[in-house]
Amino acid sequence: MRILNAASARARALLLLPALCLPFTTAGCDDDKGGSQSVADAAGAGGQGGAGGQGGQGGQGGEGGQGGDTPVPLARQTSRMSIEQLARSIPIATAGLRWEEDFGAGSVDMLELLSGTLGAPDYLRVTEENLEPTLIIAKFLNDAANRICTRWVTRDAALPAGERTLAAHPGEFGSTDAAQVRVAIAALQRRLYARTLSPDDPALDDLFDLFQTVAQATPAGRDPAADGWLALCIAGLTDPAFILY
Amino acid sequence: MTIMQRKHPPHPSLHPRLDPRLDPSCCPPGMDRRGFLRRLGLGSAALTAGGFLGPQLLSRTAHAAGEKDRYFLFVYFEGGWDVLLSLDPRDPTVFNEDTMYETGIQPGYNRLPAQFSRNPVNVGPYSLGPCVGGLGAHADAFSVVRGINMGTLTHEVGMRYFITGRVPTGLTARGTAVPTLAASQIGDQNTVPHLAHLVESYNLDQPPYAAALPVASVGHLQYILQDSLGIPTGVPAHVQGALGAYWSKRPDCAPSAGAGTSALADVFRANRERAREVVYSNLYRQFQFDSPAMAEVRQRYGFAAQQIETPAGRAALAAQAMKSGLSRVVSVALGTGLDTHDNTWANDHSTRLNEGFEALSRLIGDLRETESPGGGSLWSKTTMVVFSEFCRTPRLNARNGRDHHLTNCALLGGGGLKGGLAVGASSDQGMGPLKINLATGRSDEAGPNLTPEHVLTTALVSAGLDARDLRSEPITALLA
Repeated sequence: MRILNAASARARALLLLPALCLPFTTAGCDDDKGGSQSVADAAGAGGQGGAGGQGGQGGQGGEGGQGGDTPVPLARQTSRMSIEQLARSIPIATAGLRWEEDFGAGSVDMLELLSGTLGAPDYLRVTEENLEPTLIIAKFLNDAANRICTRWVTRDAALPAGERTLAAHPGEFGSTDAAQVRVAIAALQRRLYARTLSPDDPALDDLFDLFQTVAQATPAGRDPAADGWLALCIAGLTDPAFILY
Repeated sequence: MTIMQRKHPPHPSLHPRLDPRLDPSCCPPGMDRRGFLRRLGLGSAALTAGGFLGPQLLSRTAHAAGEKDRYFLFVYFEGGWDVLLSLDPRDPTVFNEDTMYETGIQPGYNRLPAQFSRNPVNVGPYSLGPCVGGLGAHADAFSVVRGINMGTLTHEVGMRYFITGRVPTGLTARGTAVPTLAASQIGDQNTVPHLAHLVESYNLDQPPYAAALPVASVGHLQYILQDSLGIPTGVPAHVQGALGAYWSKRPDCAPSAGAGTSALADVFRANRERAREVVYSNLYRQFQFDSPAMAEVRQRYGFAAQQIETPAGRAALAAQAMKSGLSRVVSVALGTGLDTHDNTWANDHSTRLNEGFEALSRLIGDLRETESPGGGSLWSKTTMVVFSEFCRTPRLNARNGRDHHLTNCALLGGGGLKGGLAVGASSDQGMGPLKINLATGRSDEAGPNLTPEHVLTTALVSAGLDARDLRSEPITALLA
């Protein structure tokens, strides 16, 4: 069945994420950033050790026999979420937020409104969904992130520490303390991509830099932390790791 | 054997985006990825396709490899058109209800609404049916291809066959859409290199920029081209600037980054960057068809501000996309709702077909009158293919409608193609496809049956684009 529900998609993503970084697919990666080792990686390496000998994708044959402490790539291609999966995943990732707009005649679910343009089948003219990460999908995610993240920041700012889902650290919402911000960034990684990273993991450096850059450039009259979290939220939802699994 | 234990790696063509040849790091120094791919394509094609195209056409293709000033218009009539009413008419004094048991052909012109002629329309070198709107005024600008053997009576199969030039596997498209092939060669200098409205498109092996931007409705495009669809975002400029810098960084390569490090993620990042360019282009103003500023466009195409989701509105969308510089390749459905099996045929099919051709006629007229940025008319730089998935039976069924029929027609026009010709033919007994001589365009038992591959190859070759993926021959009679 092509259209999976979000829960199963996320479950698959959780299971398969550790295995998807294949050598020939990572030409655009920054190899200088080392050091990150997720809990999921460790579990994958141990749990999947018995499946050694696989060939992987696209010419990885001959590198089998891996097991033990080495992460084992799966012979599986990366996929893009369908519109159905995306519609279910966004509220889960954002603790209940959807991209909804009111044009004067009640609230409209923008994913539903634009589903045809986004490639969802209508089973009349289009019977098969195009699952390429197209320009329109990229643009839509950015548009959706702009709108959803603004609301997410506003909602979080009004909540006590224990109930926040974006700035999920124990301090005040307006805190720009590095340690607290890194704790919340790590929590956001887990929420959005099922990546379990330590707050001091170097893989979070770019995101922390983004927070700091925005906070420092925030003009007077605005909350630096709120703008920082807005940037991190948009960066998170527009990352390919969110829509690919 | 489980998938984990596969001994042989899958062939790269199973997922061409993952083809290591697409890895920029594999390109020779000093050559960009597209240059490398082009050289790779020319090299391999010389081995595989020389026999199809011949040295003359190969040199024509090679000559055009650097050509950028080109447009490609791919027009679909959805549902299976009635060619007796349009592109392959018959004289009703010869083919009528008295002779239909001998000929198997029943034009049915006498059943059409009163506004339509009861006879084919002579447009000079050939005749067109009574439901082609004002198309006859541009008969010198295009040629009709008749007697195309579709080999299928299934909508999805016929449609995907004509979009890709390859017979689908079951219902699944088996190749890249021809407009996508064209877009990949014409280049990525436009904001949206390939725009598609109500026409499916597939990109199996071409660069990401060539994939179509699908637009579900004419009215959507103006919003799609704006940041957050034109709704104020509340995201301040310093946040947007910092995000731009963040996105331009190289991605984290750590294994834990998962799907974010895949080749597909690189495609997504490239498209995310293009999406930002779309927003900054401010081209949305060219597509506000209901605004007072667009009154002239509405008048030219004959639609009111409240009627943009019509064939006329869709034709205007295609024209504006090409004229504004948004896209050089446009796929658009001008005729819709043509699948009329019952007594709605006489009123609905004829009217919808006529609306589609009238819109097409105005679109051709617009392109002929518009100067291209590189000089000459936009039409002289455009290659146009007009098609449907198949045609309708030459005799009416018991419900006074028409079912699906194999023998199809197409229109080809634009720069590089001869106009005013009708090549190929259907038989006068049941309108079966007749074999033709590709060099003369006339019926010839020694020649091949015409197929969509011939039509599409002709279109690409006439535009100086590489058609070797289609592994077919062009109809040389149509090449200017």
